Amino acid sequence: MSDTALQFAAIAGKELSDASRTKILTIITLFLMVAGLIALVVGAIALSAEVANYTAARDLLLSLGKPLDALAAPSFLPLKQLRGFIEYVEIIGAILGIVLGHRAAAAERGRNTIALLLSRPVPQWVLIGGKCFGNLTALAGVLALVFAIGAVGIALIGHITLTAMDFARIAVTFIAAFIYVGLFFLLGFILALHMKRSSHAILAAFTIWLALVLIAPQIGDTLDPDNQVGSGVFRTLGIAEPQAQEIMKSFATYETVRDGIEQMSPAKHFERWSFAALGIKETYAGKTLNFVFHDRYNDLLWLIGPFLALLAAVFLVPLNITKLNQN
Amino acid sequence: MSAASFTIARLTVRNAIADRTVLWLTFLFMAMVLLSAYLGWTATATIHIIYTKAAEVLAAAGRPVPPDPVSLASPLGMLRNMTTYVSLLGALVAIVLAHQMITEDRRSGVFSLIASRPNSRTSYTLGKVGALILTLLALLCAAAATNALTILILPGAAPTAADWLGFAEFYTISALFLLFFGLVALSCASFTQSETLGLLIPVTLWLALTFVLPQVASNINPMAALNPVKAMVPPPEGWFFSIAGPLIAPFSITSTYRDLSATILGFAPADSASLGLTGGIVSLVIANLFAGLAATFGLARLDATRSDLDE
Repeated sequence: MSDTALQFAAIAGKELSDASRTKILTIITLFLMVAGLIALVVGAIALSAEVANYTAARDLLLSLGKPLDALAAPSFLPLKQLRGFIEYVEIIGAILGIVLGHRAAAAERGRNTIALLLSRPVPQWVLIGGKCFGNLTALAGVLALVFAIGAVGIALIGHITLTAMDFARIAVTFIAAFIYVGLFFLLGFILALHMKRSSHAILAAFTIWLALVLIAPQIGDTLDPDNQVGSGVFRTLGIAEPQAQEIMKSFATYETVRDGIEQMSPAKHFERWSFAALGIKETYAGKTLNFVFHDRYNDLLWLIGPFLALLAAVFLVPLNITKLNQN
Repeated sequence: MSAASFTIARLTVRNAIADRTVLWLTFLFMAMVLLSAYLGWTATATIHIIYTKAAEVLAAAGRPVPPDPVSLASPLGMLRNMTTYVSLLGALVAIVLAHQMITEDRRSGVFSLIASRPNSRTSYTLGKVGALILTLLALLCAAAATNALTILILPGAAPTAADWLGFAEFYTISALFLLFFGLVALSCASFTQSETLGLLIPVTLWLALTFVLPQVASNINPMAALNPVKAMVPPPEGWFFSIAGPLIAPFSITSTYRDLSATILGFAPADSASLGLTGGIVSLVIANLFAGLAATFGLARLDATRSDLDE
């Protein structure tokens, strides 16, 4: 093993060990797991209530000798139960990435060890690369654990056995989640590494998180006409889906602007990919992963592109040691 | 308020105004305030056009035409997005603002200097809480003025005196809601030795109150909780939600705020499990009292011999 490889492995190993001992990360990871499990359990309870209502209505119609045509049976697709879980990964997972990235840079700055490290014969790219590799590995481990708990949760709550295809769908969602959370790790890292004060860096990262993860999707969602009336505008007016689509054709520009606002958010791309891969969105229920990939690959590209751009920035933007000491 | 409290409050407000991060968040909040009425108005106008087209389809099919959903909404309904922006951005501004008010003193060593002078800890607490209230009120007054102006400029809304009273009530409720998060952040910044932990605890509490509790009480998914209308969808039927809703309601501060705002602004009926107007206000006041006590206790036991913070 060359000296550079040894240095890289030592830095990455130390990052892994530091991350596993950081209380804040443990708290956020636990919070993500608990929130995800709550979403699964509550979703399952709501579904069972829906099934009970359907059964009661069906029995009533049968006892009256009436046809069941007007009664829609609730659909049970196990992976659909992951909706709330995915949304928590969108919100809390991004915070996890930011905090991990912030810690990786701010802890060294707080102790002034980053300047000490750079005064040694350690190339900057080895230091940055080792830190990124170690922390991204930790992130992958945490997310793997969270997704494993989600998968076990569905199996236990739904009393079902997940198929190989279900696992494949969860795996591609996990990969998208890793890129998405990794994007926020790089954001937290680069800000904490280059901003004059690390306390400002975390606040700046949170402001960006707020704008990209909560505000942009919120604006897009709020502008959706069907979300303006409690049970949906078309349902309230008694308009069927084909007629609704026909009416919405005259709002093409409005919809383009609304979609454009949503497209600004990496959270929305992660959500769209995940909802398609897991069949949460009706249009993709029962479709193959191949179909999903061909239809939604642009969402993956919107995640991979910014991730690679930030990764390049982390390596290419030179470190200012004088600034690093002014914490 | 003693002279020392007044001086501390004045300096704290001055420092808060000079803090760039607080200013960024405040600008973002104000930008969203400016945008909120426009978003509400655009969405409302779109619904009205959809209704007109749908009415033609229904009439052609010989089916009865239901009333226009827009005509049923209050003029203040166009401010429905403010509920989300206050509970998202406003709460975070309050948290960051309060957090900075304490950590700045600790980080710079100013707190040790203040503690070495003949000032009581009560003066310090009153100064900090006073500064928090003052800055939050200034922020909300600016937001209210912006909203009032946009309501008057945008066509279609003709608010009555009762609407303006509702507008004032909405901002009073918002002040109580933001103060709660500010006081929680003050206490966390005093209790914790780590600056990051001091910020993350109130943020985690905010996440739990905004996303987790509404999910348990009403099965509202996290992203739906960001939509002022979808967040008001009634909970599913069943024993679980009929027990969980009323049980969680007194602690679910964000849901209480949403319910109160939806009732006051008149854009959606309150959640069936909500505490009602009086119950909701009482719940917010009690939450503020507890948060105020925690902040007072935290500031009283703040260690003046150790001003530096762990990273």
